[in-house]
Amino acid sequence: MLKFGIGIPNCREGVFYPMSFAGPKEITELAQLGEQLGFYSLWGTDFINPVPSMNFDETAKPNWYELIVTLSYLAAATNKIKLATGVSLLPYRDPIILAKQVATLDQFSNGRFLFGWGLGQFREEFVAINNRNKTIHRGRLMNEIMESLHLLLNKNGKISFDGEYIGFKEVEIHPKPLQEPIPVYIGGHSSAMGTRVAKWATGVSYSATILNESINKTLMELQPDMDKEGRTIDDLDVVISTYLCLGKDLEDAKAKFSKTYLGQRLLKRINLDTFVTKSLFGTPNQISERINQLNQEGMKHCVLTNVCVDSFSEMKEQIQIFGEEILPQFN
Amino acid sequence: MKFGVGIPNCREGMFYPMSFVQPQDIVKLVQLAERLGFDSVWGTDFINPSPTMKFPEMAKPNWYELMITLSYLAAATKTIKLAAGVILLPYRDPVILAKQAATLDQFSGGRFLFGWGLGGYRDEFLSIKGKMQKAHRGKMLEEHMEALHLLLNSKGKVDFKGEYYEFHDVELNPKPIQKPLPIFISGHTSEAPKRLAKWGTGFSVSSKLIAEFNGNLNNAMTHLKESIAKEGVDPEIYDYELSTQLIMANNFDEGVKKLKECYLGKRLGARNPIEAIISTSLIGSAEDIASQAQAIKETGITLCMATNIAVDNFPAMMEQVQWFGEDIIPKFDI
Repeated sequence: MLKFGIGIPNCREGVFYPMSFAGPKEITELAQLGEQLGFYSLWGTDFINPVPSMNFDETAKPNWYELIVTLSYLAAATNKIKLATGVSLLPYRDPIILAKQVATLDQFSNGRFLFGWGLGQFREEFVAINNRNKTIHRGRLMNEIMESLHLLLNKNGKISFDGEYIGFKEVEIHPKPLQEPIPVYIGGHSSAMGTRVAKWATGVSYSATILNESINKTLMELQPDMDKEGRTIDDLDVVISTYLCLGKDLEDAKAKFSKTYLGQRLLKRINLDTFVTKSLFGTPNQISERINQLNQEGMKHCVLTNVCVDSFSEMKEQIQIFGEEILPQFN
Repeated sequence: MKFGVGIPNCREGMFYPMSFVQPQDIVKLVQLAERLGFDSVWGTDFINPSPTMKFPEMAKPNWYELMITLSYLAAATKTIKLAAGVILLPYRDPVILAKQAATLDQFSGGRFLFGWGLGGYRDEFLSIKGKMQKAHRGKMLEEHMEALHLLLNSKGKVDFKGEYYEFHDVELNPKPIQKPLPIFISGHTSEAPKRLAKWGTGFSVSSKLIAEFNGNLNNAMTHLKESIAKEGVDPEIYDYELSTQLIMANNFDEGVKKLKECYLGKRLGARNPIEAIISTSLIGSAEDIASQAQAIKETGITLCMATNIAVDNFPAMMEQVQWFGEDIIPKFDI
């Protein structure tokens, strides 16, 4: 069965939504609505500090709520919906504290945590908060953190690690996450992705608008690395992250999108028609068709990462329509 | 005087036997404390068992990370305050921690209390910070406190350049709801009053400080307030938190027997004379405890914490908290 997820606006102001878009109350409301409507998962993002390369207005102060603390609050406010980091920026975190936090979250949420791993798009942000580590190679740091997390979360007994950047000795996380293994998602299109997925992930995630080939074809590229670990791509959950924009028809959806904060930011670097074809735009029927197509190509988990709106009430309205008119067709 | 209770998120092995609680037990305890009128619940921060903690070789204590536990509890309660008592700063990155603290205060509707500490076990620190074998934890603590203070309170972008921490043009948004966010400082050295004056809103009175006055809390408090006044601030504006053990029984002697027989009594008794433990405990019948609490109140303590309870299983803990809430707290309502 196809699974559906919603992107929660814990760290999206400025990047995808206008300022003062949603606070704790709204985020909780959205999570509960998602659960009621039968969505499978909630996906939060991890930003820590605005930097110039994010291209906001200089004086803008986006409200960003830290991801894991937010998910833990939402865990207690819901019963069954899964709670995902999409993604946690690993180079920003200490692997032991992070492992301890996610094991705790998985325990308290009764096994509802999904752990997405990422590098972070903005080197400038990394340097701002780690100013002593200006010369660090984030990719190598990330590999060490991934391996550390994998060991800490899955292996019994005391673990030691002595890398270029990360070192610890005789550390044991107790309790472990409730889920064995804890679901780990790796995304992106880097050359290192295959090895990382094969070694550590239970799922992959791709952005619908960035995919150049069909999902299946992209997945096939992972198979040689999966072979080395004795695994197959069929074992992987396949998340496609996409944009939702409901309208009376395609033209109406396009026009709405172009007026939004998100549209205006994206239109500086995208081609509208290509973007619309790859995303979920238009009437419920048009969107269902596009979902069917993605599903046939290999999508297993469809995440509405961003909704093309400028207010929280419009966001809720779109999610409600999606949940009532589109989601049931795939049950 | 307000009352608080310690939650067993990271207490197995330290103060309670193994397999003492599950996550949902912690939730039940906190909801009970809220109903009974406790002011706050206090969690502790341990990350990795280390040899100097002196657990049995094969012991695997279940420790739940503090900030994530408190955030879950925030959604499961409405009014009770949620305290990190204390969070071990040298283990954490100040920017990430400040972001988590601000988020927790926002989601909880302004119910977060932020206790800052060093950590009792250097070998625990070294095990998780393998690249920092020569670190001076005291200096790390000092820098971390200053960094957190700047991040949580300054408007605009903040820079920090220390020996251990460095960041550039960082701004937290949103800030915590509470202005200022309650910060509890602890320690028994001459640095502690200075830190309180610079950064704190409350002081956690440690057993080491009281021991320096031969167990006389009143003398310890008098001295503490004098040293705070020397920093040029009014000592009366601060909260004073005292950590105690709770042992409710039919009478005092039965309380002492309970304490000696339980895991907590044996752990504490290995390091301190039993009389010293008793002198900082709420122990005996409801009448005994009410008069002990009254004496504590008269020393100037504003927040009395049943940090550890002399029990070896969770139902007994709930029972003690229930008795305390019903028999003692109403006597201190104004």
